[in-house]
Amino acid sequence: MATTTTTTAARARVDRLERIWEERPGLLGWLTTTDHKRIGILYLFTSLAFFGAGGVEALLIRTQLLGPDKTVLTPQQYDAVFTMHGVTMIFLFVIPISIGAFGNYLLPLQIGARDMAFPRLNALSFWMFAASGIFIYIGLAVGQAPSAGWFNYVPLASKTYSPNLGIDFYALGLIFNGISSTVASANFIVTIFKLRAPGMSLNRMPLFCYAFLAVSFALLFALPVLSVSLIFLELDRQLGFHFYDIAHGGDPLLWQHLFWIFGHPEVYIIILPAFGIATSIIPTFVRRRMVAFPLVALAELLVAFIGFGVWAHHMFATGLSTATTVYFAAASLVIVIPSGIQLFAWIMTIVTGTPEFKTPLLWIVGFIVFFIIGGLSGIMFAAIPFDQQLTDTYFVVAHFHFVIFGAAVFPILGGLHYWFPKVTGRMYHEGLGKVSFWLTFTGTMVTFFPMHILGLLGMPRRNYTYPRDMGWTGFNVLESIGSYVLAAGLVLIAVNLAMSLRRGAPAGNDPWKAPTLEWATSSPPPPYNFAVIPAVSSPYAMWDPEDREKDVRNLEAGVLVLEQGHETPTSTVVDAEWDEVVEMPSDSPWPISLALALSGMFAMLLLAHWVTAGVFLAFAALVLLAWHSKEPQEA
Amino acid sequence: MSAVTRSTEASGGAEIRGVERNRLSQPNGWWGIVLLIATEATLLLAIVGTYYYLRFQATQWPPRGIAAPSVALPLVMMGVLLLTSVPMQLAAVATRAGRVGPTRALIVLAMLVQAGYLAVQIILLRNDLLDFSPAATAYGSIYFTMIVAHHAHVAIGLLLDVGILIRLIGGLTDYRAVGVRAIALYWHFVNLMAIIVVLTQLSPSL
Repeated sequence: MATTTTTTAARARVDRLERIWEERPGLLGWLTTTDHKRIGILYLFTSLAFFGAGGVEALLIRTQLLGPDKTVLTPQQYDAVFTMHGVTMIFLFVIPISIGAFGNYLLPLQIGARDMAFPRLNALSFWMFAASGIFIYIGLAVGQAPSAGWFNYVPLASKTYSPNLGIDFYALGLIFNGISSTVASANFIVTIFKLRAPGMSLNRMPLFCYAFLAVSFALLFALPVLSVSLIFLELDRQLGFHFYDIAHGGDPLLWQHLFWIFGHPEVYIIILPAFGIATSIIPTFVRRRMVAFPLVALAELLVAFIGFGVWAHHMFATGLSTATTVYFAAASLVIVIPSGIQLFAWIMTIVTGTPEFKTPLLWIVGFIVFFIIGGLSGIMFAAIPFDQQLTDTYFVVAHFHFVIFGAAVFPILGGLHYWFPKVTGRMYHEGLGKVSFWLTFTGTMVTFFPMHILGLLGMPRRNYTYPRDMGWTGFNVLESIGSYVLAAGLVLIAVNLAMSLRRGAPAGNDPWKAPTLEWATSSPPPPYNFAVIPAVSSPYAMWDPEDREKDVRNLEAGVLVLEQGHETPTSTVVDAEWDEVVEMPSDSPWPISLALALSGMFAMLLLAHWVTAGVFLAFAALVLLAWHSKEPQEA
Repeated sequence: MSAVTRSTEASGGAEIRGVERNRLSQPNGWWGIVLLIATEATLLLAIVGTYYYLRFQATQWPPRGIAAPSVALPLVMMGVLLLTSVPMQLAAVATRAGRVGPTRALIVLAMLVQAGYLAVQIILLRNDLLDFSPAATAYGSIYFTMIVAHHAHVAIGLLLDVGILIRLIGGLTDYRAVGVRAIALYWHFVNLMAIIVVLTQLSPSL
């Protein structure tokens, strides 16, 4: 149970909550669920499946490059594999696991809410994400995978040079995926603004939530630009429009501008949740509050904001005017300031605390090391001549793998260990956890660090092989061996967590003595999260024992229990004053139906069956009508 | 907290007025539509931005052989659409007062004008298509894409009108009252975008 119940009155209240919030059992329950925790778990396993696929693609690339002139993959297959690797890792793994899985599961718990603001919309965003991922992979399965790289430059991606359906799978799949993420980000913002437990004013909100707030706003404004660029691309490809066609007044560089106006904020969208996870794990294991809390909160928001003004540093080699490139170089350097603030805050918190290097904190230390390396090579790219020299070489590959794998995925892996006891009720094996960390850390370093050197030696990225006499063979062998070590580390994590699921020691509510509210409730949490809406007077709510005692008294007295229905309180945006009680919708068949209707529409758009696509769209509209036929208060 | 108002249960004039009076901040549904508007506005502005990007790269805009757009009718139509913000806003005000009759009537009035606007625009679009093709020049591509994108937002607004009118048959609840306010906000956004899109569309002739 959520709270240790002492009196029969309290017991009766908890029983009533159990009945009201009871979930539908079995497969049907999972298909129709609107519980943010179940949706988070669905996101987790789906994105991990895509991580597996993206990982296999990575190993194929490294095996092809193990020696010169190898023929593991044909050049065409190699193009498809590295494109799918990038698309999978960015759109189908990192974003859905960080935002969909960690955000969904933890955010309502950290702010003391009983669900997300729009639970059915939440289910819809999961089903659309899953459908869009399957959609893109169908392309690979039928031998028509996208093969123009994850940033898909025209004219290579135009109908002339990529005549098969690969690019259409990419474009339509990512529009579909983007709708899912847009819906999710709006849901997160409203949840953070409105559903914080009364008393949790903005200055008492955990830094994890600030990171997710920043990410959500970045997604909300970045994704439409990607959608526009993809719609233009499909119009060009399918209906013969000329947005990117220089011969008829279009411009291929337009694609690059639109793509990177989305693509650079995207980089921060990928890494900000990792910052949020780091700010959750560090205080727990060093037993002190974060240094410079308000500065870190502001820095998280600033990174997302400034990220919108730097896109053309991806285009220094395209012949933009000097005035333009100099502006973007300067703007890119400015990002160092909020990033540096956070970096120093993490390091100072660890140094001035009493760190206990359990597995989750080890992953965060690894993250800090890789973020420094990737950040420093990033600053180098703000120097225009340096960028022009090294663009499209392995130096770039080294840089963004340190940032995206080292800095964004390491906290995700640390978070998997940190919150494993909360989600499963059991502890993972600490010894195996440490071994898997060191294996992965070593593997990452050995795989990606030599790429800096290869880049400086001039090895171009995206080439399916290299000649014997270039002097690149040794480093490539080293990198490939590193990638196998890295993969072994990841497999060991999976083994550890899978075994601990059955054999792990019982975790209890709060095995880490952690500061945030998810640890106030049982492990795993009940469907209603908290038997009583928690009292909050600081961002480290669990370190305020008087508040937790107040919760127990409130439950006995029936205050803030909301046991009359499927309800959660809403509060004012800044001060979190108690505002009103809202009914939350319970399970619904409509989100998954709508996702299916839209899948049908995108499939028909792919095949250029416009009328059938319209029929599916009309079906989607009917589903929406059914969705609204029952309002939450009528349930 | 026995004094808590379960706002979504409010139905009928007096209860809704009470909920609206007691509410300290905007409800979830209002925030939802504001964020939808933010993301849709970004989408439309990216398309408008593309129009100017392509225009500033072109030596002649519109290209040789395509007449500059005629000004009078689109401007009049834009004015007519803008006027529909008035009944939509009045409908939102009426719901806050818990008055379902005027709410329905005002939405129907606005919807008729909006539907008429869309019908005339579709005819104008057909005429444009007879004059030049989106598949011949980048000018045609962006011209038609921008206009159709805006019309799609008008069409979605009409569907929202129909949807809320169906819900209002069963009377007014606070949930539906928030819905009417959200849809009114959406129309203000569509109308604001109409100014930007139409002026951009006509800019070669202005």
